[in-house]
This record gives sequence, C-alpha cells and structure tokens, in this order.
Amino acid sequence: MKEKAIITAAITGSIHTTSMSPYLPITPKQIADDAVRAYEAGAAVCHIHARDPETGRPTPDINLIREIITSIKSRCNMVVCITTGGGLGMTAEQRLIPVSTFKPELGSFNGGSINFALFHALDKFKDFKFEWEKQYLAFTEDFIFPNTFKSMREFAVIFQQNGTKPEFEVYDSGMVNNVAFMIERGQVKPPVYIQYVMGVLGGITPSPENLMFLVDYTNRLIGAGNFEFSVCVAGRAQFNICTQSLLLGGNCRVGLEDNLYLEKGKMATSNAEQVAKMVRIARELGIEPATPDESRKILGLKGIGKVNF
Amino acid sequence: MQYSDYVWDYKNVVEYEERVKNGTMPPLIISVAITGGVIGKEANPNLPETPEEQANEAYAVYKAGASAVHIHARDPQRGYAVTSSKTEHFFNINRMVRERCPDIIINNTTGGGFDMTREERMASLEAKPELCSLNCGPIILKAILPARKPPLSGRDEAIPLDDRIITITFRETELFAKAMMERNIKPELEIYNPQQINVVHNLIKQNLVKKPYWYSVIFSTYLGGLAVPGNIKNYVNMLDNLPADSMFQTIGVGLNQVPMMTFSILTGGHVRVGMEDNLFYRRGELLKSNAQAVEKVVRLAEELGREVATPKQARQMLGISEVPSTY
Repeated sequence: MKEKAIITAAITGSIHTTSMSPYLPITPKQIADDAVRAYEAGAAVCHIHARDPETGRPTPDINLIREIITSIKSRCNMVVCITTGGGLGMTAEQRLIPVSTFKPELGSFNGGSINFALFHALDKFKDFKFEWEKQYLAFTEDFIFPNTFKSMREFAVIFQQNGTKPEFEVYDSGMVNNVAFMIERGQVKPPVYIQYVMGVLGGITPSPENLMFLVDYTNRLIGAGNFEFSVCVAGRAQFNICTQSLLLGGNCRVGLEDNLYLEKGKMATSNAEQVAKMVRIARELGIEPATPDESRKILGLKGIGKVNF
Repeated sequence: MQYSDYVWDYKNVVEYEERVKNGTMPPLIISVAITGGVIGKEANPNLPETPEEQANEAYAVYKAGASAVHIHARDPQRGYAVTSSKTEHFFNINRMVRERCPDIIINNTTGGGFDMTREERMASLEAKPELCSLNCGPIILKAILPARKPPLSGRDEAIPLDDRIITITFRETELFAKAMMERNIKPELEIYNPQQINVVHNLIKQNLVKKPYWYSVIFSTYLGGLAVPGNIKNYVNMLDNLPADSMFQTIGVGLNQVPMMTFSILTGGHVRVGMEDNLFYRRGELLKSNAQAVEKVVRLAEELGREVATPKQARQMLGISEVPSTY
C-alpha cells in the first residue's frame, strides 16, 4: 500500500438520468458546488460532464463546461478532468473540443469501443420526469460507443498538443492491450494513467478477482513502473472495489456518476458524502488522501497554471 | 437458520455483485486471538497473560463485537511466558470467560507453542472448548523472543526461534480431528500455504471433519511452513482451492493484518485480529487493548456494508451448538 491515494469525484456523468436521484447535480452551479464540496471532503480530482440545465440531459455544450470549470477553479485548486465521451454520433474532432479549448491537466480517454449499455436500468426505473430519459436509456441496447484505433491515435495527438494527460478509461481487459499497443507505437508515453471502469454492462463486472486480474494483466503487459491506476465501479460494489484498489496500491474514483448510493437503502445526497466515506476507509488503512498538488506530482501533470480556463 | 443459509460461492462474480448490492453478505464473524502463547508483555505491556487479564480482555472484545475468542492459557509456573500444557489452566480461563461472556464462542489452541509434545498440546481438548485450532502442517518461524525483564519472568535470555519447528504430521492432524469430533469440538483448520489444503482434503476424505469446513487462512512473512507473503494474489489463489462448503477467516500477521482483514471483509470472508497476530494498532503504535483492534474491524465492516455477526449467528454459521458451553 502507498501512503497517499488520489481520490477522484465523478460529479454527475452521463449515465444516470435526471429522475433517478434528486441529488444528481444538473445545473452548472450545482455541478461546480458539488465538486468544490467534494474537494473539501478530500477529493483531489473532479471528473466533469455537463448537463442541460433544464432537463438534465447530458450535453457536450462547451459554454456549460466553461461555466462549470471556471467556477471550480475560482474556488479551489483541484485537478479538473474533462470528459471526452461527447454525445451520441459526434466525431472524434468534436469530442476533442473541450481539450483543445480548455487545455485541462487531465482528460478522459476511452480505451476502446464498447456496447455501453444502460437500457437494463429500465427494468427498475419506470417513472421519468423528462421525455428524453427513457429514450436515451433504451437506445443503448443497440449502441456501440466508438473508440477505434484511428480515433484513439487522433485523440493522442490532440491530448499531447494541449499538454493534457490522458486518463485511460478501461472497461475491459482487452482495452489494457489497446493502451499497450498505443505505447508500443509511440502514440502515448508511459507512465500512463489508467482508470479501470468496472460494472458497466458491456464491460467487465466488478469483483475482487476481476480487479486482481486487471491489475495483474496490466503489470505483465505494460510493466509495473509504467502505469498508475485508479478504479471506479458502476453500482453498489463501488466502495468494496475502491477499497481493494487502495489495498493494491492504487487510487479510486467515487461520485454520483458511478453510484447513487452511500450504503444499502441510503442514497448519497452529494458527491462529498461518498468522498468522505472513502477518506474514512483510507485512513483506517493508514492511507491519506493526496492533495491536488500531490496528485499532480503522482500523475505528472503540467500544473494548474497551464490550463486555458 | 443453519450454516447452508450463509455459505455461498464467493467465486461467483454475479452472486458477488448481487450480494454486495442487496446487502446479503453473511454477517461478519470477528474472532480475537487475545494473547497467543509465544510473544508476551515484553513486546506489548497491554497484552493479557494471567487468567484474570485474559477474562477481562475477552469481555472487552465481546462488548466491542467479537463473537469468538481464541485462548492460550499461559503457564503460571513459568511466569506466564509460554502456553500451558495443563487442562486445568485452560478450564479455569474458559470458566472465567464464560462468566463474563454468556454466549461468546470459546476457542482454545492446540498449536500451543514451541517445545511442547503432542500430548501437551492436546491438554486443552479436555477443557471443554467449543472450537479449537487445528494446524494443518508444521510451523516454522523467524523471530527472536526477547528476554522478559523483571517484574516479568519466565525467560531470562532472548531466544531465537529460527531453528525450531512445531512438528505437525498428517497423522497428527487425523488424531487431533478425531479427538475433536469425539468431544463435539469444531476444528478451526489453520492453513499457512496452499499445500495444506491437501491436508484438509485428507481429513474430509476420512470423515474426520464436518461441514461447514471452517478455515483460518494465515498470511505472514515470517511464520509458517511455506508461508506466502501477505498479498492479495496469494489470497485469491488460496481461496480458489478451498473445497465447497467452506467458510474462512483471514489472519494477517503483523503489517499484513489490516490489508488482509480488509480484503476479507470485502470479499465476504471473516476476520481474526488480536495481539497474538499483531501487537500494533498502526505502524509504530502499540495496541492499547485487543478491543481497539476489534473496533477498527467494526468500523470497516460498517463502511463496507457488512453486518457484524452476533455470537448466536456465528454459532449457527459454524454449526456450533447454540447452547453455550458451561464450566
């Protein structure tokens, strides 16, 4: 185990829909406020998506993202990691606009294509306030989130040009190999930062054995000194597997993007609540949450002075 | 409820996720090895040695959430420095523990300590324990026992242990298992390395142990036959080889304790803590009491969504009589 671990808060994401939790931050102000509270609770990094302030529908709107991240930056020094997941049907170039516009220190970089399935949420959720929600979820039964080798090569160029460190979102073991391939081709330079995303239908399930396997596989493929990792889990196994990540010497991501609950039967009323819980667990294990500046050092980031927002 | 209601295939990843989601992991059995028979007050002055100290410490861990207590009676003739080989010493402590803790599961060692004969290590079996450790292979250890300076006694000089062995053979495991079965004592199968699972298979084949098979899986850097370093890969490997109808608790020795017990909590296993295994609360900070270690387990269990088992639940899960032993 390490003495410091980076705790990331994924504030709102684009998986959960507006009606699923009254606590999901929607407006730029809500998202920024929740990020700052997560920082105060011990998160060093926030992972940012924007939503339509009226309906909560995920949107790649650059002005909304600007409003969120400038508000965060005016109040704290946490590392801002912006999504490049974009919206349905967007080209690689369009998805990269936040990187080229804001030159963030960290940006999500999806490590491969996946049938990113959310449709099964309809088994549980029936009542929606907004029309888009049901449609949005149902659509994913037939949706491949495209991250081809060509687009990843293009992503790598833009990330490098803007000094943005890729946070590789790895949804399954094959994507570890995709990252290894990009390293081998010189498209990205180690040490790389990998976020194992477990529990998305279409990707690997969250279990202790599976995380063990992913880390082990990455060690063999990329080399122990050549990567830093974090784990996030869609669903309630979040705290278990994040705790395991700390035991394995890794970092972790929590937040309402990934899990709406704090414990069984109890919804998380903010990202900060989940962060605080993770901090308590880490401290029981003798691990302190890394500060934003310590996180910058661990990940080799360019520094908050070099962003463009 | 019976044990089969609690046993599950932890290797089934779908079931794992479901159980975490629905909060249906089995309740967490917390055992505490309050004293051990090797290291004593010379290493941590808060470690209980005398019967009175042990009984009080058992009560404190019981109140903190432990459902089982693992006891080594210590020999008063030798300054409480080593494990006793007299039944009455075990019986006396068991009686005092039962007075204070009406339903805690009383577990006695049969591992004893170094330089004890097989018969001496079996003395505890006549002291009416409900659960007994059954070591599944020889034990070696790299450590130096420090001298016990006055007012402590029993060991004037430091003793290196790196050239000694507690000899445990296949035949001995059979003898011990048979003796336990005859006395209706549940064996706690102590496994230090994957090979020792074969020792358990032998006992199963000979009908010398009953379901559910209850294991202590031990992780230690300097203890055990072919001891593996306490890391998670070895843990998963070890558990993958357990037979069906197995339940396990994890013993992490020294610095292995906190990470391995945490991993056990989140995988659905159970936990043993206590000063026999680890003298420290955290690096550089000695435990003030065994209860302090239990409190940490309880907090982590709470954070990770594991209910803490009551002694009654632990008895059901392990297939131990719900009527506590009397003395």
